[in-house]
Amino acid sequence: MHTFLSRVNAVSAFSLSTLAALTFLCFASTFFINYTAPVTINAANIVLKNVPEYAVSREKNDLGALRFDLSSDLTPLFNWNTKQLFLYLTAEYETPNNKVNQEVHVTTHSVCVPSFNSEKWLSLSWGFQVVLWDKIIRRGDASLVSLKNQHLKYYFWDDGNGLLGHKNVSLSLSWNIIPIAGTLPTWSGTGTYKLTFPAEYTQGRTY
Amino acid sequence: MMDTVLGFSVHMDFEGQKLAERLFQIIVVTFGAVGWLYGYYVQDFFMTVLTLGAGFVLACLVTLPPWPVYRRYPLKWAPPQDAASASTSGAENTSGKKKKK
Repeated sequence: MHTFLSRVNAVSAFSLSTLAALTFLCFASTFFINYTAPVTINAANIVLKNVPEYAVSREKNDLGALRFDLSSDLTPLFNWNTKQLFLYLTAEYETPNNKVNQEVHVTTHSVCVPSFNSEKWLSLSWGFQVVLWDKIIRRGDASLVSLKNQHLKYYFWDDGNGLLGHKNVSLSLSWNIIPIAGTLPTWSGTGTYKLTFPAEYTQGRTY
Repeated sequence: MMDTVLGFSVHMDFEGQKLAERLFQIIVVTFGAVGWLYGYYVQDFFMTVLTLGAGFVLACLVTLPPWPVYRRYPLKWAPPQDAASASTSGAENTSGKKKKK
């Protein structure tokens, strides 16, 4: 403290420690917040094809396609510890191949959430889920989501013929809260859309 | 040797150091607490960081330069002893200690 530089050091170190404490308090003030929100999902133009997925094999697999509407007010999710949101639309369903919350064998899509025999995923009581679409909303962006007639971003492949005539595929929206400081929690919106796939495959290029 | 910056002596005496440390602690913590509450109120943590930064700048202005208030209690040194009467090594030792303070 007797020299100029030692005072610079002392003030800087003390200020940084204070900043760290304030950041932790900011995290603590948002840790118990409920980050769920109502979501309205609708789907249309539901098409089912049976085509080979050459990345995996020559066997034909079910490929679903649809357009969807999505509306939700995500403004309450943005507090002073929210940096951005990662929204993702998932389809959850059960087939003879893939029972919900059991060992799942998945094609090599990175978009399929349960990975190969992963104990970690199985321990979370999740079903067989396929991520179809995602979006990032940064702080300051429009947080009132209202999307109409959107394409899927990722292919809706099944690892077999599980989608044909399936009457209980539920679409739901979930999000990761990316904070300024703290944990990276995953929350889901309330409100799902129950999807029914046609009992016949669509031929040709119609989408 | 006293420390100098651009030819100016920048040391503080002991009482001044104590006062300066207490002052920057109070300034930084006060600005941090007010900034935290303000940031919570407007729900923007950047405001907290800005307020703390303002406190840091103010604390630097108040405590980095050796203002006269920090130099009111200069040490009273014993008068220099005759070098011949004291042992040479002992004299060097004490003078070295004095200079470091």
